[in-house]
Amino acid sequence: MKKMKWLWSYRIEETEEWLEQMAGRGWVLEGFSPLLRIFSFKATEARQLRYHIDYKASDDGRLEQAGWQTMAKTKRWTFRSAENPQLYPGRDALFKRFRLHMYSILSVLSFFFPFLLIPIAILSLLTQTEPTGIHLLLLLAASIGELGLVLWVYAFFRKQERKLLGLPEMWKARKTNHKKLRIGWFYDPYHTKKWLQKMFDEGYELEKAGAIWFYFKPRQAEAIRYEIIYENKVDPTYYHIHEAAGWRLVHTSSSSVMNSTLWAMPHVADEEPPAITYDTRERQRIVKKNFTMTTVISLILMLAQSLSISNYLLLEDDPFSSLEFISSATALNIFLVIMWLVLYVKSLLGYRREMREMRDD
Amino acid sequence: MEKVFKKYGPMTETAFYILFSLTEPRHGYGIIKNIEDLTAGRLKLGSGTIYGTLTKMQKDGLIVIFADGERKTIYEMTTLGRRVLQREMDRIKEMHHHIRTFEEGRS
Repeated sequence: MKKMKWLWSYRIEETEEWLEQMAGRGWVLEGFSPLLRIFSFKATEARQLRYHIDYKASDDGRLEQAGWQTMAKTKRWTFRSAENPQLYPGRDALFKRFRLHMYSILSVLSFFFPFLLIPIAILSLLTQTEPTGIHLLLLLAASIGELGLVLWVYAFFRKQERKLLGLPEMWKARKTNHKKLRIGWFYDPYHTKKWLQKMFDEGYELEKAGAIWFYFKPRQAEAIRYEIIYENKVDPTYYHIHEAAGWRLVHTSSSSVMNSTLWAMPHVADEEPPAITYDTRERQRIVKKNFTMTTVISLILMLAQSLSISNYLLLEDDPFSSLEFISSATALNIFLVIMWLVLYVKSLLGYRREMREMRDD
Repeated sequence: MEKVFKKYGPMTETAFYILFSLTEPRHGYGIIKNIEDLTAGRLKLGSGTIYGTLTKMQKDGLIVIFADGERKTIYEMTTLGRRVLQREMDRIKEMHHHIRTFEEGRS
């Protein structure tokens, strides 16, 4: 019996469960054809099997010892089954492939946006008219459609990525949570951590945090330590290791690339506070990495700003005279730029203080 | 192969103890506890330290990752890892021999 399953490699746990269900119905995996995504089964008696799909698997000896049998194998994929395994292969190669695909696809879809202008241009050339309202309407519809597509694809991938990373289900705030707003907090870790400690002293323990909202609950711990960590890339191991050491995941940003995570660990008041690292040089590296990220993003924003301003100046004959220059769009723009500058200065001051405090320790 | 030996010779104390802990398969937290016990509390490593070092070692092929029955991550040393560790232990044994000779010479 043959079955085709598209996008099976982006839903690896579902695919494994499906193979296990097939085994439970008496169909055991016999072969796999990657090009057409076809799974071949042979009929046997119903069996309770665990399946594991391995990408670029290397070590077979260790797994064979643990009871794993290879059911199907291609150049890149190995399909294994075992009755009651106490040892599973790692998922790191699979995760790296998944992430590469996810961000490549999203990048391609996002950069496709400027090419939407081409059909509009062709249309106006064919009809020998200036772009009219209809053209702009089409462009708007296409833009909204493309944005919707990107968001939908992102949501699909991110849901699977969360599973691979071992992240819990999305958390819903409770009415009893004390809410506080703090914008751009991950760009200013020093002051955010100080603020969280102050809140804790006032009796509020952080339960969860989002991109801008913080949800507190009544304080239960004697003492608490918060850590804000920025990493260029995170993988499942990152979350496993910190959680196993006792850190509670309060927030992680919605991407495994350029990721900011907020960890919390309650502890006994008298003992030395826990830390993600006890090595000063490592700690300095962490702080520096975070600030470098903030600086790079600031530079990109400034570049984008100056490009759009110079673009505007090039297009208009006498830009300073027209009312559009003082339009609301520009005012909002200026306001946002000022807000960002304020945030950056705070971040810079926090960075310098944190580095100085570490040197003095 | 030579590149790995150069990179991990000599090893920092932290890296050595992390690899040394993996003479038997362990969980991440097991490594931290093992090193704390071995050094009687002198070396207290954070999970960030462990994560960074293990990631590097995995990339260099010194360790592999498995998961146990409860899908918790287990770290294991590879054959290459064993060779790197042995080279480092030999180097330290040589140092120890020199130190002992010097100390015994003084008394």
